[in-house]
Amino acid sequence: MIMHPAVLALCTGSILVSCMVLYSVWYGISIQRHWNLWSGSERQLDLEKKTYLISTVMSYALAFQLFSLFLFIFTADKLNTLFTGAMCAAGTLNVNCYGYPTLVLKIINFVLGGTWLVMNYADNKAFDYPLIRRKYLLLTAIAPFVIAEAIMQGAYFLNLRPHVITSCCGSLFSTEGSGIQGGLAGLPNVPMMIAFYLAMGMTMISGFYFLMRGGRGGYFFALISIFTFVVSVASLISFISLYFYELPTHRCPFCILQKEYHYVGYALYITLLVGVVGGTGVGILMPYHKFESLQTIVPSIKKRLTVMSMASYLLFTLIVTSVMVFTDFKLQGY
Amino acid sequence: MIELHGVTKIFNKGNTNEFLAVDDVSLTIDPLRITVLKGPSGSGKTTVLSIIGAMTKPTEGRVYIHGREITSLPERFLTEIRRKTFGFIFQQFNLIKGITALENVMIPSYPAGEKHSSLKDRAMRLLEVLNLSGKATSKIEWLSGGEAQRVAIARALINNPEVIIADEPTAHLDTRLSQEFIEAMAALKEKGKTVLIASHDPLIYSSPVVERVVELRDGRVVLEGSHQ
Repeated sequence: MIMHPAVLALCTGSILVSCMVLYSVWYGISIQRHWNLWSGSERQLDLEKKTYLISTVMSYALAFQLFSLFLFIFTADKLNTLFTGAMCAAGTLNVNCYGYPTLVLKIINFVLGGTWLVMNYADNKAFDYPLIRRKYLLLTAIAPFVIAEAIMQGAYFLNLRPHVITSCCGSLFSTEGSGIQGGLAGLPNVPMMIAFYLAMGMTMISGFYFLMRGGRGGYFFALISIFTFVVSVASLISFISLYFYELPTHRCPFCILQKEYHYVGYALYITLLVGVVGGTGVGILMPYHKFESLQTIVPSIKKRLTVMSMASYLLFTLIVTSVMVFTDFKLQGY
Repeated sequence: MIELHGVTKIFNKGNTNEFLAVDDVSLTIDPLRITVLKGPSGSGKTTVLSIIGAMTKPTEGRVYIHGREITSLPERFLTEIRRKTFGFIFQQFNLIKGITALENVMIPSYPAGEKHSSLKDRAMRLLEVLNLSGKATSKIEWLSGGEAQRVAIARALINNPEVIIADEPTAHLDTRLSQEFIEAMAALKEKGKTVLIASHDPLIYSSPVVERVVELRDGRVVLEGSHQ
């Protein structure tokens, strides 16, 4: 294991978050079994007091969980100098078999954690805990992913051996490369470009429709925002990255996080993740506007999430389009 | 109407210093009346007032205000209820030294974000009603006991609450000031306020303006009576 401060912070943070999630799931079982707002029993009052504390603690824990995705990528990027062949986070993550699965789990947990935070926010706005059982059920569903991530991340850091020879991003994300990375890099440019702008266009249209029609079409907007996220990540690797690097063969999704590219990768990934969390947040809140205490609260939250999601995706599109338009690099012929 | 259903409060539960302050109290407090909770020191009067005033959560039981259950509410909702529903007069008055009587009266309304000039006007009107307009700019430490008491009353009224809660308000007052206090409470009742007082002062609970007396002992209601 490499005793880098960020590695220690990530490991400690993951252990703490996992412990908190486990305790919350344990407490959630009590909620599922015994919650009864009509009762004035000692147990019920105790549950009410504890849920206030636990939901506050979990908010901070999952906020760290969101932040840890970027810290993980940043750390992987910083450590590349220790491994022969690694030029950025792509090579560092390839040092052992746990790197990329950890990254995937962190992305999944970002979306799930963000969705839980949206649900918790809505529940806390109402006076009668309308979503309490559902939010603890969601937490129970998230828990295995959080724990799997902590284990996977621990295995990744524990198995980091300095001076291991690894592959560089150029070979991992090349059209000749194998695995998912190679598959994404090998996606055809023009069809991906069409798919990307089509997905973004659909997101904007469905978002406007949802806003204009007083909340109709929310599920579609949620689904399309998830689809757009997936298409955007694939597009970033298959053709968008080429414009940033101004090279016809370099498709690394991590080099854009470096200083040479003005850390633009962070802006791109943050906008994409905010976009997908906003969209899924709308979807998760769709059934709850019928609850009496949420009747005025949920529509307003959904509206804000939709605007947030649309604005984030729009910003992403503007950044990548401006680079594509103003760079000297042209894709014609490749 | 304020209703308490099976309210119990245990402090330091599970510890060696566990203390049962209120034991299964069920009570209905009618609006627009003066109700006194009487009982010896340690009988649970202050704890009951704190629970009604949403300042303490019970260990067991529920409290309803106009049919709305308040004990399950998270703290951010209770703040609003405390501000709009209750005006508190404490035993030691708890006025803030170093600032003027007028500022003390205005303080509970600051979080509401009301325009300063209109808030100041309202506070001044309250001080005038309580014959304290001449002392508005005086610091609290310069006021006599009676004047401090009236500032405390004005402060309790600044948010125009439905219910005035007073905890042993005459504990440090002489007979004349105690009499003035209960007269002030009677005037408030006439103006449509519900008044709830915890006191073991006979001058208070024997006063003819008090309509109902609830006697507490060892955390339990032992006697309920009406003067009229």
